[in-house]
Amino acid sequence: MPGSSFVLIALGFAAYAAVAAIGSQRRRNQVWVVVRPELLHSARRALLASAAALGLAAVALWYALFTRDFSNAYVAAHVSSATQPWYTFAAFWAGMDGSMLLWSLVLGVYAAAFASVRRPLAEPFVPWAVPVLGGALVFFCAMTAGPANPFRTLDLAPADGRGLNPLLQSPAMVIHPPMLYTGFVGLTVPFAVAVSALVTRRTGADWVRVVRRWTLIPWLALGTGLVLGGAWAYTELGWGGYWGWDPVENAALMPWLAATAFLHSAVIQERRGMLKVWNVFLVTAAADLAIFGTFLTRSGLLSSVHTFTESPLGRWFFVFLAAQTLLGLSLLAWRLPDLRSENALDGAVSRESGFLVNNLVFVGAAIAILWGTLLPLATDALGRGRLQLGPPFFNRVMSPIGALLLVLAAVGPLLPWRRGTWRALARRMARPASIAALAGAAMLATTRHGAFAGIVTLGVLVAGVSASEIASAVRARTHSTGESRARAFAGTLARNPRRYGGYLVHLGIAIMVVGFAGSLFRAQADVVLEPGERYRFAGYSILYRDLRHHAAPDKDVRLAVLDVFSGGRRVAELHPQQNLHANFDQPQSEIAIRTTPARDLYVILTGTKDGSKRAAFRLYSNPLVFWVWAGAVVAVAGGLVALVARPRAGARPQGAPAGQAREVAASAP
Amino acid sequence: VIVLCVLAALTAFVAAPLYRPRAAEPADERGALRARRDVLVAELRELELDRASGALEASEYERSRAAAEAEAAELFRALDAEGSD
Repeated sequence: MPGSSFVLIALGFAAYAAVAAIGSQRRRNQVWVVVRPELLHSARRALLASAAALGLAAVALWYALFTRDFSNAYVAAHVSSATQPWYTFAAFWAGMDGSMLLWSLVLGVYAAAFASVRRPLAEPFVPWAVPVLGGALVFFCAMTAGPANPFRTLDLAPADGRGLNPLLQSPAMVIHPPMLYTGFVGLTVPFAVAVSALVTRRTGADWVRVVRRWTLIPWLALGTGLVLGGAWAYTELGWGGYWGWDPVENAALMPWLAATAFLHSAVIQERRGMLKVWNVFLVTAAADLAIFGTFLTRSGLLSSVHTFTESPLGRWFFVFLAAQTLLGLSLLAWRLPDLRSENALDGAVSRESGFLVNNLVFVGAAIAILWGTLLPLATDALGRGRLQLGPPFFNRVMSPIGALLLVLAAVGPLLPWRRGTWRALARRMARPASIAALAGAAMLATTRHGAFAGIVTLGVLVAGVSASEIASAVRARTHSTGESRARAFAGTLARNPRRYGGYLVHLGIAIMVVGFAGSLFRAQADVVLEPGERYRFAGYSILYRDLRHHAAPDKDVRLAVLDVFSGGRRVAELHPQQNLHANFDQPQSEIAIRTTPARDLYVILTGTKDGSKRAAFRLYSNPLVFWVWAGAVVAVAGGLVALVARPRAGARPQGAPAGQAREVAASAP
Repeated sequence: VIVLCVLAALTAFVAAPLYRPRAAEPADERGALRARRDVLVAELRELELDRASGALEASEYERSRAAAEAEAAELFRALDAEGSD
């Protein structure tokens, strides 16, 4: 099939890019110099060619999926003639082999983008970043061309395909895996630049400045992917929650935590020339944890809700992971003398120390999750059976860590650089802390739940500090320019997108945390009802009206009709359903949810009996889940502001003297 | 045939710089200096924000601003020198 050939072409160009980029340089007086720029230019183009070939391979796979080419083993396994177009599109990444092609394609696009964007600050890092990106691309193309080839043909094509796994037939699945992959794969770029910085001994702040945006992209994509994964679990898996500390969820969270830590510590290196070793370590750790997550997903070492992606690829990923780790750590050890801090920590009450503690907590969180995820393997290896650590362990460990991170998110923006005083900090904290304490006291009086009141207090504290920092900047701008508040808000974000985008992310996370806290009041009931029967649950009166059967082309559907009343008024009609898909043994539930800002009413049709309309339901009352998604939207918006907006130079005041130096001085607000 | 055409086109695209080597491009010194200027602008902006929000003591603000301006002066001397070439 041409698809396989395109992957092989991509592999060839990636290998050429790696070799040519190295060959374009010579070492003179301990400095790497590009002596054949035309060869480096050709290497950069080879990464573009590799991405183009992978794009054509992807088109070939989509073509096979949409034309129902059941002679292709992957197509026969993942779509049927009844599969809807959106899910046919998403079937590309429904299985192992397609996922590998997607990974290669996304990596190809990243590598091509990095190679083709010419920014003076980034140029010195290109000659050694290209071989790293090319090498990674060679590995993934080799996987896609070999053990995970989605273009394998069957000797005998079946009349129809098996169809898409019903659990994957969710709108979130159309976008969730590409988002996650954009996150995982993108962390290779900062790693490649870090390697280049170490090889060329350009270990100052420039490499950190170069990778900031290249880290923000995968960080944002991974965060969005995690939220979309939560939405998928919530609406498809039918256990009433959105996060279950599943090994694969954990594996996606760990690199996000490492990348988050790096985005904070990068500021310290830029501003004070500190944490250089730490930053290289974090970038390596983030890239490693991304591969580790995939290794877990693909190896089937741990049982997970993602078992549909198990394959024997795990050992290859392990080899790649080991090679990447070895490269990063050995270069780090080699260049250790070049990575000395330019400054020391001046005081405990300082922005630097706040960022440092924040970093330690983020990494501590990642280590705790890693420990909890790997413990079953460790105990199994020691012959003690698989000791599973479920949500209670993670909730117990992560709650104090999360609380500490919230405190740091509230205090950090108020800390001065270099050295401050506790008194000054207390003065700046007084107002948001008072508001948060009042909110917490009100929650305690209303709910009589100490943990909930504590979480709300911290959430309001973070939200208060973030919002007040943004508000004071908007106010200052309104006063100085006379702009409307909306324009001043937009102008403030545009003026310093990194800082105010970051505050928006903090605000979004604070809102999400309050949403998470709603799970403390979660209620559940299992009921069996006859048509016409009512059941009172969580302040609602639920009337079971009818059970309807119908046959769709690919499934038999049983659909219950429920009327939901609140305060004597009918507020919703819900349709939980149970589907029996052709070619899949297990029935699959379609959950019905009534969402309000206060709570979700979550209904699962768990069983029906042939010849009868008697039906069993599981009901959940999930308070404040709405705020998890709302907070995520705010956080993603903040990430986009930090990523997309470019700081605008300030207008030169009238009468200001010409000359670039004065222009720079005048550009500060 | 499609695969061969694609391979030929991509190979020509990749090989083109080898057959049309441009005169060795001088390092984009001016571009690098401009990039550093942008970094300085961002740093100065951060300093002003920190001062306005109270996150920076007056003495530290003055010290940092003086350091940034000294660096800026040096940078612009270099930029002027580049521009006069």
